Amino acid sequence: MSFFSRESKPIAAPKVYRMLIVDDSNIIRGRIERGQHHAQIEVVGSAANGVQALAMARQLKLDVVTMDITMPEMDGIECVKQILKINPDLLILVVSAMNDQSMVLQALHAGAHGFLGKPFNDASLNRALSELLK
Amino acid sequence: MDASQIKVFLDGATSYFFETTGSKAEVGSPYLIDDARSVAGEFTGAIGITGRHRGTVYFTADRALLMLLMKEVGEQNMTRENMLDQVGDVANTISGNARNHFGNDFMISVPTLIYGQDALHLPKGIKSYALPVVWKNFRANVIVVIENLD
Repeated sequence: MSFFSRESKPIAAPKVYRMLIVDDSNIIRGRIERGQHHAQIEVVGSAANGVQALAMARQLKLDVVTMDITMPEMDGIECVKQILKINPDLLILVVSAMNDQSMVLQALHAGAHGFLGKPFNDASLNRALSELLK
Repeated sequence: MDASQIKVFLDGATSYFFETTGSKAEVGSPYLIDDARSVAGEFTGAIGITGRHRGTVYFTADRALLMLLMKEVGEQNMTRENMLDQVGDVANTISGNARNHFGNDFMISVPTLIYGQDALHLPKGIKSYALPVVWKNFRANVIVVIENLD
């Protein structure tokens, strides 16, 4: 039994978005990896600071990045600017406790596409990721 | 620090536990402390504050509370490193959220992670406030040591 008539074209498989998690906290990297349940997202790596993130962006084919702001070596705002030079098509969700308006605007001006304030839970994380992929 | 400023950190603590776990934390009355001995837990995260305000915000807790908190968020690896990361995240979140009250020149550092009750030493010369937090019958403390440079 076929799911398609002779004239039908097969339905393309939905795109899988390859995601990098950037955060200096091992606990938060784990929470994002475990908590994200988006069917189209596959976590392919994690980085503990901006410098590591740039190196991984050069090595891995990425579509989505979650980005902390306050990190050693290179902060998240600078990393957003630099990583978009490597891959301008990346979708970037900034995840930060500094959720005041000026920081949100700073992140968006740097090139981020979304902002998730901490504290977060699995539901708010997945809502933010879904918004990012729309 | 006035009452409205202290409330910012109390609200930050209750928000952290409720948003993260769905369970409310109760906060006690803030009080002045001379040293950390009476309130220090085994694990402490410290966030340095610079800008128009200067000082440090600490979150300090014992293993039992942290194990339960980490279990609630699905963390199974109860290592010392992860417990230190966890107190660092609470301190970071409370401090970062405080920018909504203090303004965008309330700059926060990456967490400094401190292991051992005896290893926590508070700065001298600035008033230190202990803000008790009770979550699921386990006690922790936010310690706020901040001065306004204006």
